[in-house]
Amino acid sequence: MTDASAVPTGAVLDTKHIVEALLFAADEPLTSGQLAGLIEETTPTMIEDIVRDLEADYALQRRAFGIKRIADGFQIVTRSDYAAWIERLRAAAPRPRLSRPALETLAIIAYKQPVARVELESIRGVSVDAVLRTLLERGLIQVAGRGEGLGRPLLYRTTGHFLEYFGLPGLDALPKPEELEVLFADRERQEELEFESEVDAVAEEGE
Amino acid sequence: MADVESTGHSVKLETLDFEGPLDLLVYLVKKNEVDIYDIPIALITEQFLEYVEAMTREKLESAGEFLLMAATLMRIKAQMLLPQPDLDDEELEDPRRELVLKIIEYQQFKEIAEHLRDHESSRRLLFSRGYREWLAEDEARAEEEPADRATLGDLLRAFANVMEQAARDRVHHLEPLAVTIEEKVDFIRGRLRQDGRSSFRELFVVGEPRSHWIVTFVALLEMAREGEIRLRQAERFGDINVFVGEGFKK
Repeated sequence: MTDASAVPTGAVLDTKHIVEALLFAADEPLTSGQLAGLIEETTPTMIEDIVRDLEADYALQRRAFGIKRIADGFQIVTRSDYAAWIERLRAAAPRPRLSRPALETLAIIAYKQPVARVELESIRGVSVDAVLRTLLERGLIQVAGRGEGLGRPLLYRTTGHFLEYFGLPGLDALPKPEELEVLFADRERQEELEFESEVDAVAEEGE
Repeated sequence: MADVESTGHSVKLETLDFEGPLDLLVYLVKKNEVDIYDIPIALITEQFLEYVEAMTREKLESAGEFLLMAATLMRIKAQMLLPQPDLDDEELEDPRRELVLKIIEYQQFKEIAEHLRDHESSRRLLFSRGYREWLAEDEARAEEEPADRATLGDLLRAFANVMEQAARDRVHHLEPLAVTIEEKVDFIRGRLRQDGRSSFRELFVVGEPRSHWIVTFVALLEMAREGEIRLRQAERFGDINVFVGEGFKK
């Protein structure tokens, strides 16, 4: 695989170093599957172990970068402590952050996808037309087909770029609804209430 | 509603901005430190209406959603005043329940949105190889499709400009309307199919009678409403560009 003459003195051709080289050179997250496909006699599980090993090395050596799990893959990124200096490298102004309506709408799509506009509007209690357009333009959501309901409404889902934008390893990295702190407290009473609505639903079906 | 004194504090809500009626309700429930499962509906309705009244004076465009919720609140309040036919069924019959579940659900998504905000903040501090290309791509997209959506006013202004040009030609065609909106919709689709975009002006064919231009304009409005096209303006009073929308029919 490697031309021996091109290898600098002292280079180690073990899997760990090859993984490191690939992550260093790639400009987007690489999955353990992709890495295993590129390196002979490795499995995704082996790659996972090697990445953990590399992470430990970087932490121990206090490197300026680490490995982040983004969109199901791994990517070498600089540590946040150095952000101020790297910002100086860029000519352009920082990208605008997402607005609150955009974040709220994204949150609902992330949990309910694929989801139609009507449902988003019912949960937020406001029109989401403009917000959906912004999210589509920024590549954070995409049309995932049409629903069965009246007028076959367009359905939306989050994209891979959504995970990259927020630096999430996957959708399951978002908190589970039951993990959310209910600011109104009294979880038991909420469950009671939900239970009652279920009883109602069953009763209605029985009618 | 007139009896503001009874609440003990006339709220200065006008200064606050809310995403919608549910956002305002979440705020009121927290501010008054009331039990979400036993909302004092009269108090909340009163404060809600105070805000809506203040708001409708300033920005009318989003008032509809708030007014709808105000109507719901008043309906619930009225239902609460009715005698309960069967006391054992009181909980099941609580007219507030549906609204309470909605508030709780909305509140949960608000929290997830905050969670996403945190992720956004920390992600912005991490840089990887290729981040410059990433930024460049985003900027190019922003340039191609300026965030400023053309308003109805902008459209009418652009159309008036086009028609003014037609008037200068001083040729008067007196003929029945020889073109339908459907035909113009097809024509616009044809123009957009190639590049996915067109300038507003280019869609008005030089030499065509004015009546055709009016049909073109109506076709554009119709397509914008259906989400087939998006109308963008790079700057205030600037040229309007037409882009293919999510509902574009090939």
